Amino acid sequence: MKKLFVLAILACVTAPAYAQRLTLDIPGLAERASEVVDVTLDGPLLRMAAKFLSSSEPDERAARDIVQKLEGIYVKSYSFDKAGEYDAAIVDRLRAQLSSWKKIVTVRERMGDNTDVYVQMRGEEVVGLAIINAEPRELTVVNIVGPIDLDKLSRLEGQFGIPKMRGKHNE
Amino acid sequence: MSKRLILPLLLLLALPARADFRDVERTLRSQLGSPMYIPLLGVARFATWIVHPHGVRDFQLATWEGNSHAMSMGGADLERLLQRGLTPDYQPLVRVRSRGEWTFIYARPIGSRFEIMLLTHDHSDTVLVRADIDAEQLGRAVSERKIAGMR
Repeated sequence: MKKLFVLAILACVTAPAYAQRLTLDIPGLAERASEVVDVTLDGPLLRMAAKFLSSSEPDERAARDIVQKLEGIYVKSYSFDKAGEYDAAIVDRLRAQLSSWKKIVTVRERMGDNTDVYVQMRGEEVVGLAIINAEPRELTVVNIVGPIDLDKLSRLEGQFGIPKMRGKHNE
Repeated sequence: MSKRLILPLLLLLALPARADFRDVERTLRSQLGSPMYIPLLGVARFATWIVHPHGVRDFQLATWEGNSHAMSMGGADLERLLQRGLTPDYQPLVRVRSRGEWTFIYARPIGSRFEIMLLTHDHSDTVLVRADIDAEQLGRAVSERKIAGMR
């Protein structure tokens, strides 16, 4: 759940302009999961969410500027009682939706935790971001639709629970 | 005697009637029976309406406990009941299912504030909450860490 929160915040902080919204619903998976979390934040509610961020703190102001330009933040997370309760092919199907996107980060850990970060480009601009975090007992997908400034994103590393990406293995 | 009359009248005048909450509560009542009586809830609501603690301007609460019919209800049934009582401007914000517990949060913006309707349900208990919240004021309270356990 903590990781989900970090991913959701990462998504809020990073997401930019008009990108494709991914299909995060995976038929049959919710029934097998012990916990399912589905977050939909778009339209006027997203504008409202930006107001939670302070305009006096520089980092929060930067995050607020980013969030205000976004179209939507969508998170879907499935947790399972035992490892291997979901088919790895599901992750492949999710990745297949991202064939026209650019993968910018791949993390593979010994314990089976895999994270992929994709961006959708329109010209020079990043207009969408997707994060797939697949662990033996948890699958989380984050989709941010809208323009994202990656420079600002790097400023926010280590803030608000956003992990520092240095030291991760970039592909 | 007159004091006894004045307080309820004052509360009635001061607290706005919330059709959405009442509509959802009525729908749930048809399935789960009457909600529990919570002593002094009206006074707490009145105080909230005056003080606006952490940007919360108003709230309503209804709880059902130990209801055997609720045990047979699934999350989809509950969400359908919730949606039936809400106006179309409410959007689903969060849905959580965890080991027989369901939580649904719907929200809508109202000017500079937003209103949330939260329905949570486990094997036998169901809670419905409506809150009218000033986003900026709540955000400031969170930033200043006035709310225990946040950030």
